[in-house]
Amino acid sequence: MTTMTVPGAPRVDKDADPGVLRKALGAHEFGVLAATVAIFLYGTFFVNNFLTGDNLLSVVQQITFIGIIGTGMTLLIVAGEIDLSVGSQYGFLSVLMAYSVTQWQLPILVSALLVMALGVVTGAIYGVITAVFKVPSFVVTLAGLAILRGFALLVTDGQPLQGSTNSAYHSLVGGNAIGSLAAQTVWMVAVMAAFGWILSRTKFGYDVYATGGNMKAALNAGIRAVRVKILCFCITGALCGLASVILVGWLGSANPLTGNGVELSVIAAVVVGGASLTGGVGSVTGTLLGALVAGLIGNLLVLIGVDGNWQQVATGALILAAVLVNRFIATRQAAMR
Amino acid sequence: MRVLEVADIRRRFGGVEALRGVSLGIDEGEVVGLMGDNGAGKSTLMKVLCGSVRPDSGTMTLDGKPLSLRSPRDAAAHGIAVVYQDLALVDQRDVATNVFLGREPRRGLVVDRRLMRREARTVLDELSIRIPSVRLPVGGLSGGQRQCIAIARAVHQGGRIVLLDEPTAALGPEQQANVLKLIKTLKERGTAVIVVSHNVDHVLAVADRVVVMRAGLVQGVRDVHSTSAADVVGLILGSVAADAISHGHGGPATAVASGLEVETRGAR
Ligand SMILES: Nc1ncnc2c1ncn2[C@@H]1O[C@H](COP(=O)(O)OP(=O)(O)OP(=O)(O)O)[C@@H](O)[C@H]1O
Ligand SMILES: [Mg+2]
Repeated sequence: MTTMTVPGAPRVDKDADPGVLRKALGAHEFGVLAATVAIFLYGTFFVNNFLTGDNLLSVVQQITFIGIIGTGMTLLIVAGEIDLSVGSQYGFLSVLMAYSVTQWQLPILVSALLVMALGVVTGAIYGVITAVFKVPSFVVTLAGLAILRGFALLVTDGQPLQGSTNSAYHSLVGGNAIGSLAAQTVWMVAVMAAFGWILSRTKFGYDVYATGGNMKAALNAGIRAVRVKILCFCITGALCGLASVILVGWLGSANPLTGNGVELSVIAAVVVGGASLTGGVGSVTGTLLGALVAGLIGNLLVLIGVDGNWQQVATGALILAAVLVNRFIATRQAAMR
Repeated sequence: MRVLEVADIRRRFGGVEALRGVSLGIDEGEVVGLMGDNGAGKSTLMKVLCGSVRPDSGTMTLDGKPLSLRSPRDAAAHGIAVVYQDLALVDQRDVATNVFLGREPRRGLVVDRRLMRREARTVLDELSIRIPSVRLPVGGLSGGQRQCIAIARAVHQGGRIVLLDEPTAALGPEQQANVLKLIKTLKERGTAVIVVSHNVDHVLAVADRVVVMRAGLVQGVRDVHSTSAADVVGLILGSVAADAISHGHGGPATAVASGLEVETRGAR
């Protein structure tokens, strides 16, 4: 027994996994995880009709679009960039999806691929202007926000467009998968699981973190950081396209005002989820929790019967609280040596 | 055998001529100590050698073949590893990830984190670098620990030419000794090492040759066996005596120094 305490005796593995609890406490997602649990418990004990399968599934369904677009935004923010135009992209691509199916009479699959490809092209343009010509993405995508919304309104004359009536398409993206689990939710979970894995486990994911954390270091280490950033913009564009395809299939129509202001909810989800706007920090899991906690708050306010406008206030307060908690975690992590 | 040779390298930053025609060669298994006052152009020369700064003019040859480096990635592909003075670490990422930055071991598509942590620990132990856990983000570590990680990275990367820009500057005595030991190990393996340092004793302890730069030029080259600390310091300071010595040989110091080097080396 005594040998255990002698210095130089068989060493314990210093690099061992610190355990789930310690890891959770030190993680950037700790704040949002704690908030989600707290709000969930509050709802469970104090609010009628909260803890029912249907209610919870509807909350998850409501965050589908934030979740899918937020996944791309997570990659971008981790890479040290941002896309303020996601709401407009989502709106424009929705209009385009409906237009392509009804006016051009293109098959649904072709239209869907076209819409996603256009998202990729938009992202590539942002990426090149930002990463190659060094114009801050904040500015580039702010311009994109205005331009794409303008196009959406021009194409439709400001009027909603009729979409497809194809029932297979509708049920694939807008129906119910199992019971009252919406197909949309399944799409979101699939997208988030895939990109969560890519970001946290693959070489590309590691490159994204390195690029956002220290672009110079990444370049010096031989990482193609410019390409990484462009790819993140492209992925975000593609996911805006996917969200549009799902929306149009679900609603059967497209409104040119779709996604107005959605960029704020999306960025809020990512930041509440622990990501840092300076890059290098963030995760898809965090973003999911960030979107979920906002969804739960909205749901509870409705169930309690509070004026819907309070939801805005609550969301703002949530962002502030989350950022403060993240600040606190960062300082504690530095002190944990 | 001569591995790397550069000739008449010039590089200007706006109004500053950081390099004004530098020539330098290094052999397999040779350690060159690069010294000089602050702003002499040492770091810039290192950055040229590793592809992160492109020279305005001048030639580079690797194994006698012309070499043109477009990026550090290029240099790494040619077997040139580097530790920058302005350490290039990603603060938010953990120690293991930084040791393997850009070159993470993979199993299929997935980064093999267990292997990465294990190997990172091995490299750190080899260098007697004490870090509580390779899972810690490097942003929270001390300056010396961070520097050690940057060195560990270059060592692990290996390569035929290792460039170290002030590797011992922020280290404690034990880690300094380790780095020096490490340089000797690299030398025994046949690696060519260029080490920038302000510490004459360190340079004389590990280097075969000392190259002193001043104001963007090579001021003089000394064989460590036939020089003294005072001589080298004199060169660095550019005192009257040192100037007299280098001018005594006639002609610009750069040309003489590199010309002689090629001949004496070749004759061996
Ligand atoms: N990126 C840059 N932009 C502008 N000037 C630069 C740049 N890099 C170096 N310089 C200038 O070139 C000169 C040489 O700098 P360098 O860093 O090579 O010096 P050094 O010999 O490494 O000095 P030290 O011993 O302080 O590290 C300095 O005058 C410096 O200001
Ligand atoms: Mg320097």
